Amino acid sequence: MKHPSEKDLVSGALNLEGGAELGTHLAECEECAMRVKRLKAFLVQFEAHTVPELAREESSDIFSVAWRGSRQDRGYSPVSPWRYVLQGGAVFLCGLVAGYFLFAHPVQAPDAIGAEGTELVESVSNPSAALPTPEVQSSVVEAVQTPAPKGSDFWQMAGLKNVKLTPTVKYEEGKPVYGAVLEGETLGGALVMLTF
Amino acid sequence: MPSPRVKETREVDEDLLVEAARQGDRRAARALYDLHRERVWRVVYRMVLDVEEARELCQETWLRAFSSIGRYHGRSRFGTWLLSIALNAARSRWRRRKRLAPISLSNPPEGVELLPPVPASQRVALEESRRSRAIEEALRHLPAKQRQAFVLRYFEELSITEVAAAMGCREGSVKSHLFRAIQALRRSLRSLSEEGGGHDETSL
Ligand SMILES: [Zn+2]
Repeated sequence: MKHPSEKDLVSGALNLEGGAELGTHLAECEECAMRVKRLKAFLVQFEAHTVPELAREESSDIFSVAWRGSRQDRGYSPVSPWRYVLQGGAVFLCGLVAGYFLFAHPVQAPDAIGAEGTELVESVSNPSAALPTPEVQSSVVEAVQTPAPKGSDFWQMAGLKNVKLTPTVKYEEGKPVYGAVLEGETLGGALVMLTF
Repeated sequence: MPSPRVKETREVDEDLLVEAARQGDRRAARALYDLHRERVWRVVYRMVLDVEEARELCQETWLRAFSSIGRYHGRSRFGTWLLSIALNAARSRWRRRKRLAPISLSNPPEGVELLPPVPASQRVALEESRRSRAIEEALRHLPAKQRQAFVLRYFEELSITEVAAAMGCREGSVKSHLFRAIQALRRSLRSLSEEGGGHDETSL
């Protein structure tokens, strides 16, 4: 008679899916039946292991802290696909701004287009956080006063005009969270305001 | 936000509670918590065998669960998903601890992740009997995966399929971990029994 492996006997003792085969063998083989019986007797002693109680107030605290923490993690809003759209928009916008500073500075006034040029005003809500250097500031002022050149008219390419971009910084639990507010008009004249 | 009517919590479809909690319904989240808190507590306690550490781990598990409830898609039961979070939290806690203070073990099995021994000062088990303390000691020396498999199958009576889902491994691996766990426990309890001068009740 071929006896089942120790592993199969353990499975039998733990009432695992041992199959009818093991059951049949145990019914016929006294030796294996005794081994399973001993294994079960060994396992029974673990029932003596108790887990300390968690006090009711402590348990409530655990829930409250976990729930509150999870709400903060998720910004108090259910998961929405708009979040991803806005995140994508923010990345796009950063690309545009970077493109502006890389390719359109310094401003070339002589080839200015007509009076309908895009106006770009930059301001910083927390001056200490992101104050531009004086040199950069003067070129920004120039850009405001001078109609923008053809090459830098990226807002128009994005379908926007009269754009005002305001960097923002707010503090959440002492940590700065940087963002921006974009205000402007579509080429069709509708007002647009986006917060990132 | 409307709450699902909580007539008899256990009768309420858990999926509805999950959906409501996902939408920010605190009462639904609390109902889910009440359904599963005891099991989560028992499992995390048996993972670390220390009340203070188990409390922290329990907190971490629920915070992770509620924060990522939007990612639960019902492929396994909610309780199983929750246990997988608890096991992961225990694992990363162990890794952090291992980085801070590597622990040398007399006979570490190769390639096996071991759970941390708890400082002696915190080893005040509530059990009075020597046998119960011996069991705790034997569990403490089980490698992590073996302990997880044994705790979930033996104490929590989860099916092998559920244990595999919670541990994130194959059913065959669970059976191997169980087999090795029981062999290790037999060895531990035998030696503890000999140390304590008692007769050997564990030999098969
Ligand atoms: Zn046999």
